[in-house]
Amino acid sequence: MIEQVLELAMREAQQAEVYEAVSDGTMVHFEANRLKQVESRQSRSVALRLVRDGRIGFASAGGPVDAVRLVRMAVETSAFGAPAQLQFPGARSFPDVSVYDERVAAVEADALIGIGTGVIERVCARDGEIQCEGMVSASAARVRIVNSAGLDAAHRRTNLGLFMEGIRVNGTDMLFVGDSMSSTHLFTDADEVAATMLRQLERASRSATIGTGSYPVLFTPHGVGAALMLPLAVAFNGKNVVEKASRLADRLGRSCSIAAFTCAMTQPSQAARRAPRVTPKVPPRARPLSSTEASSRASSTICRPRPTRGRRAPEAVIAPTRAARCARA
Amino acid sequence: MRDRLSEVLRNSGADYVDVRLEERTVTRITYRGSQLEEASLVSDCGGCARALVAGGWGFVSFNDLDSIEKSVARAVDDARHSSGQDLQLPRREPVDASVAGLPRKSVGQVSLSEKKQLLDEYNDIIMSSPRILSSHVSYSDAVRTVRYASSDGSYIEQLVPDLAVRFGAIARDGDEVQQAGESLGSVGDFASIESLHDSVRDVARRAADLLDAANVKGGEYTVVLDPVLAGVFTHEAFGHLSEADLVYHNPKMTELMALGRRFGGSHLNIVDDATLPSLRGSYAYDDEGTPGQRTYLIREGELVGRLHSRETAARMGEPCSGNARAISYRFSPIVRMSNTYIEPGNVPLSDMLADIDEGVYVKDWYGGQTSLEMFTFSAGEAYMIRHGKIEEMLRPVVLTGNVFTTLERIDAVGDDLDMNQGGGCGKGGQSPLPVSNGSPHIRISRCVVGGR
Repeated sequence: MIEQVLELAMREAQQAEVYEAVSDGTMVHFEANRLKQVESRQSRSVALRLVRDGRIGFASAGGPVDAVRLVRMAVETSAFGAPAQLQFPGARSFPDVSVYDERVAAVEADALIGIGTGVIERVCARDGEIQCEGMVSASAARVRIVNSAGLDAAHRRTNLGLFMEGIRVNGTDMLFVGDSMSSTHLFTDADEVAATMLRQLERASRSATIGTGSYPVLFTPHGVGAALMLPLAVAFNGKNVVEKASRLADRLGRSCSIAAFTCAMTQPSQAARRAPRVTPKVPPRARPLSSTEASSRASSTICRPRPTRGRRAPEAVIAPTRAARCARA
Repeated sequence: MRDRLSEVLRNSGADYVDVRLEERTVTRITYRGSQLEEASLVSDCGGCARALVAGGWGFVSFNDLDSIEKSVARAVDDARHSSGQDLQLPRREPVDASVAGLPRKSVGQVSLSEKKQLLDEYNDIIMSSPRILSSHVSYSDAVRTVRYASSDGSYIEQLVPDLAVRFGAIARDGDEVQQAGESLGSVGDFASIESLHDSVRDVARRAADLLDAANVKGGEYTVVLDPVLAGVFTHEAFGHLSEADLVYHNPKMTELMALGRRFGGSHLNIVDDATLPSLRGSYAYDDEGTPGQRTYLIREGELVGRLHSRETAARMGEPCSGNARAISYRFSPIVRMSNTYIEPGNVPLSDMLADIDEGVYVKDWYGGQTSLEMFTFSAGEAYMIRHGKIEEMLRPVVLTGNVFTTLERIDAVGDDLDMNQGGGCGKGGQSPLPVSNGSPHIRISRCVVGGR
C-alpha cells in the first residue's frame, strides 16, 4: 500500500515520504479498587508528506486508505504549505535501539490485571479508606517509512505502562496520591509505584495549614520536574529562541539568573521513565542546556508530555498554546 | 450496514452491546509568526464495539471495518474478564434517528484556500501590530459522521461539525515578554469567524499593553470575574465535581455531593444543557444513544442534580442525564459536560463594582488546573478595581482556592450571561471534547490572587 501511495505522489510532486504505523494494544482499567474494563485497540494509519513546487504538503488517513484521495489531499495542502528547505534522506542504516520486547507484544490481559491488582492490594492493605483507579497497558507498534530518495526503514516498538492513583476524601478535603511507570520492556514488579503511593499517604497524614504569602520553597527532585522543567522547556524551545519569544534568546554564552543551575537534556535509548532491570544498549546522552552560563539549546523534543505523577485531576479546559499546556501538565 | 450491525448485536451473547462507526475529516492550519507552520488534511475511519457482561465492560476499537463481527466477539470476551459486578442497565425504548443539523456555512463546504486566506488576514493583523514579536494562530475544523447501534434496538446517525480557533500574540520589549490570546469556536460554522478583525487587533494590543502593566500584590481580594472566566470556573471547579463517575463508587464523595446539600446563596443556579441551539457542547443524542438534556446541577444554591451515563445513573438509582460522550471511536463514552453555565441574576456590573474599594477585575482565561476541590486559574486579563471603578491593567494573575468555599463567597450574580465556546475539555485521556461554558459577571467576596 505505501509503495502505491509513494508512486502516485511522485506523479504530482518532486519529493515524497510515506509513513505507516500499525499498532495493537491491550489496556485494563481499574476503578474503585477493582477491575472495570478490558480494552483492545487496533489501529492503522498512513501519512504522506510531499514537496511540490517548493512547498510542503501533508495529509494522513486512519483506517482504510484511499491512496488517490490521500495524494489529492496532500497536493491540495502543498499549495499553501511552508517553503521546503529539506531533502529527504536516502537509503542508510540506523543504530539498533532496543525498544521492542517480544514478551510485551505477547502479554495477555490477565498479566496486566495481575500488575494492577498487585498495586491496589498493597496500597489498600495499608489504607482501608483509599479508592484506587488506574490503568495498565501494553502495546506493540510497527512503523515503516519510505521516501522518494530511496529510504525504506522500519522499526518495531513496544510499551508497557502503569498508572495508578488513589483518592481519600475527608469532608471537603480531598487527597490524591499516585504514580506511574512505563518501559519499552517487560516488568512485572510494580512495587515501586505502590511504595510511592504509600509514602505519599504517610506524608499527607501530617498536614499543616499555611497562610498566603511569600516563603522560601524547597523543591524535591520531582517538584523541580513538575514546577520548573516545563516552563524551562518552553524557554529552551528552539523555535521560541529563534523568534526571540524566549527570554533566553540572545543569551547564548551569557550568565543566567541562577548561578548554581545546570539544565541538561537526555535521550535514553529505551523510552522509559523507569525501566527496571533493563540496561540500555546505547548509553544515554546528556546535552547541557544551561549551566552557570547558557551553552546550547535543545530541539523541541524536550517538551514531550510526561506522565502525570502524584495529584491528577480532570484536565483544565484547553488553552491550545504551548505555555498553557505546559502549565497544566 | 444497518442490517449487518443488527445481526451482529442480536447474537453477541452479552447483556448489552453497542457499536459506533465513525468517519471524520479534519483540517488544521497553524501559524507561528509570519510563517505558516502547518496546513494539513486528515481523514479517519474506524469503529468500536462495547460489551457489558455481568457488570464488566469490554471495549474494542478498530480501523478494519471488515472485522466488526470479530471485534464485537472480542469485546464480549474482554468483558468477561471484569464481570462479576451487579449492574443492570434500565430498559429503554429503542431510538431510530438521523440528525444532520448543518450550520449556514459549514466548514465542510469551505475550501482550504478560503480558510487560509482568512487566517492570513488575521495573522497579518497580529504581526503588523506595534511591539508584536510573534503570533500563534491555530485553526482546526472537523466533520464527523457517527453511526450508533445497540443491542436494545437503537440506531442513530449523527453528523457533527466542529470548529475551534485560537489567536495568540507575543509582545517583547527588551527582556520582557508578554502574551495575550483568545479562543473561539462554533458548531462548524465558518461564518462565525469571518468578522473577527477587531477582536484579533485587540489581542495584539493587549499583549503589547501588558509590557507596561504592573504586577498585583498577592493577597486576598474581592474579585469580579467576567463571563468567560466565570464560565471556565463553573466548568472546571464545579462541573467536574458533578460528574457521577467521580462520585458513585466512593461513599465519602457520595456524602460530600449529596443532593440537597447547600453550595451557595439562593442567587446561584448552575445548569448543564445539551439542548441549547448552535453551541459546541450541544447534541441530540450522547454516545450511548440517550437524548441530550437540560439538567439543573444547583438550583437556588442547593445541589439538585448531577451528570450521568447509563451506568452511573443505574448504580446511583438516579435518572440518566445523557452525558456519556467520547471524543472518537478510539474511546469509551465517559461522563462529560455539554454546555455548563451559571444562570443570569439581576445585578448590573456597575452595581457589582460600586462598593469595592480595592479589588481585582479578571477577564478571559489563559490556563489552569483543578484537583477537584482546589482550583488554580490564570486570567487572560486583569485590572485593579479602585473605589468602584476598573482602573490600571495588571500583569496576568492567578486565582486559587477551595471550590466549596469559593462558591459560598459568590455574593453577586450579574444579568449579562455570555457563553464561551473556545478550547475544549479534557478528561481521562480524551481531549479536546467540544463543550461550552458561560456565566454572567460574578463577584467573589474573598479570593486568593497570586502576584508579587
